[in-house]
Amino acid sequence: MAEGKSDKMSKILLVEGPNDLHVIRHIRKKNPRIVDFDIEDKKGLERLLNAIALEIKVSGRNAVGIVVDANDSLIERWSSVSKKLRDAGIVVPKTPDSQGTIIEASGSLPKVGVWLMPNNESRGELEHFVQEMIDPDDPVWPKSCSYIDNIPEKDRKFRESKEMKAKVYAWLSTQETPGLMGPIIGSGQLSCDGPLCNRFTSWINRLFKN
Amino acid sequence: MNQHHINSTLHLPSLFIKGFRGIESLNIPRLGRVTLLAGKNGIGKTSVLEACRVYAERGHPMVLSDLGREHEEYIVSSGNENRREFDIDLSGIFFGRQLTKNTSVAIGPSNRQADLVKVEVVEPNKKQVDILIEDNPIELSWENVLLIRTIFNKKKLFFPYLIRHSSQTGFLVHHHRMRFWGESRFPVQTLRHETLGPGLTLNHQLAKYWDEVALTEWENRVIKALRLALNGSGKSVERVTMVGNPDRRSSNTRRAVVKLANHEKPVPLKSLGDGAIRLFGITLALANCRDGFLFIDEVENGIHLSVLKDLWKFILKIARENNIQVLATTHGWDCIKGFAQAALEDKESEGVLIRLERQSGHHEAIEYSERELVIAAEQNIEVR
Repeated sequence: MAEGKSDKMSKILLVEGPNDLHVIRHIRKKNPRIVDFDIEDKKGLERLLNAIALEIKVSGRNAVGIVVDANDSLIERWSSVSKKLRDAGIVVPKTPDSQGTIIEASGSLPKVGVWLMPNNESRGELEHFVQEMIDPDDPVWPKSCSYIDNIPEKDRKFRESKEMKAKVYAWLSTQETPGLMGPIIGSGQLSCDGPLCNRFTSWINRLFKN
Repeated sequence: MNQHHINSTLHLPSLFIKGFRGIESLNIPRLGRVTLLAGKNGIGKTSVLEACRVYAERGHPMVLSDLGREHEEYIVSSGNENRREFDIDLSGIFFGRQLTKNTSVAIGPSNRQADLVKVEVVEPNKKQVDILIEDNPIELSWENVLLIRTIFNKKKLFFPYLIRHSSQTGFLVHHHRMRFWGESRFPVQTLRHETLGPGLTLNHQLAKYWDEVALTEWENRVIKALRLALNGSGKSVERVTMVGNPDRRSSNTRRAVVKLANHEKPVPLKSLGDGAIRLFGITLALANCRDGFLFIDEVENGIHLSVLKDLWKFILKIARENNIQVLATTHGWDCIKGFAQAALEDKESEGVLIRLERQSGHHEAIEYSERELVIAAEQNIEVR
């Protein structure tokens, strides 16, 4: 909680972990047209879900954004987020909007936005979103994929659903600041101009514009 | 910490206020055994405490004139230029300071219309006008006279004041005969209540409270409270009492003295600091409002943050055991955190935090359950 509330506190984006925070922060830096807002790392899905009702009720809050991974089931994640929103008095649509869900402010309740990583349409997580930011002609990306693909089944310690994450990290480990997503966006090796990233930034702007 | 236990034994399980002071309309759907009120300065937290006080007194004229006096609301009521008489200006009780026909105040539980206390400005009926004329040889234009009355439980009580409309504002005329109007057995049943203001409680008030606890088990609770306040100071309270002359003007005024371990002579309570005086006052006030209400304005004043959790545990327990409903205002995050921590440890507590807000002119109550307060405290999410 920031002592001495700034204007920024009226618009807050809640994310699950530090990677989400750094990726979004760097996307914002790359896009001067993105409106200002505060980002808070909620340190885990459960803590984020528990905080939803409270973040919505903060005095003077105008907009609350929620970014969580769909993980194994888009529908399940949507339903867990929806339940917390409904408990807080928000009227939630049955299904997420592929462009990013926005629920307009009503009465004393602020505007609420939900983005399910990667794209509000399929299961997956932040790394699926980041993969879309890799240049299609990138020479290392096919190599990163085949490196992971060539690891025999018996030696794979990750679950099948984490395969993309493994490939993205394999690719990240070959970049200028190996492993760190944020700075790689900052240095321009991840593109913020692709269709998915544009969809995300336009959701952010619709959510946080005055 | 059981939400289901919030039950109908609370004097006010919910609160509806209409037309009272700065509050045009406010509905708080749920009050707790202990309710903390937060919100910006001037939002009306103190008015909510005062409204509950009016409810406890069933809208009796005395509580309204007490409030007027506390807010220094005076008005010239009668007399000539050489000898003016002042009265309490009751217009401050009504929203927008309106003392016109059909203005009214309503206070009570949200969903029980029949249990509301109402204070209304009405026109006198024919019989009342006749009595007024008979009793007041001075010329009054009786068409411009209004009465104030309280209604509770279908019983009516007219105030001993008239509102006489001059060209601009209404003013009051004291009218002693009117106290016999209405129900002679009004009010039916008032609830005990005590109010602690933001400052330290005065000696004569403490002395009055003390007489209720002397030589009862409450003396032990008072000592426990003092030990809580002095925790970590190296001072150990053994006994406490009040000494001195009951006459408030005496220089040997009645005051609390404390016997400390390793001190031969008693020391004044005042010498032990604001925290000790505040906790002494809170405990004594609790003893004086069993089966009633305790209202505390800016509860954390004078109290060190390390004590707040234990103070709340102490208040929650005593309030539950003695059927006291506590409403307290606060500005302090530490106070709210302490409240949440106490609720977490006390499985039976029934606490609620309400933040008052004003949205485009009207009041709104934002409610936080104990469970939410625990999360807010863990994650440092602002609730004030």
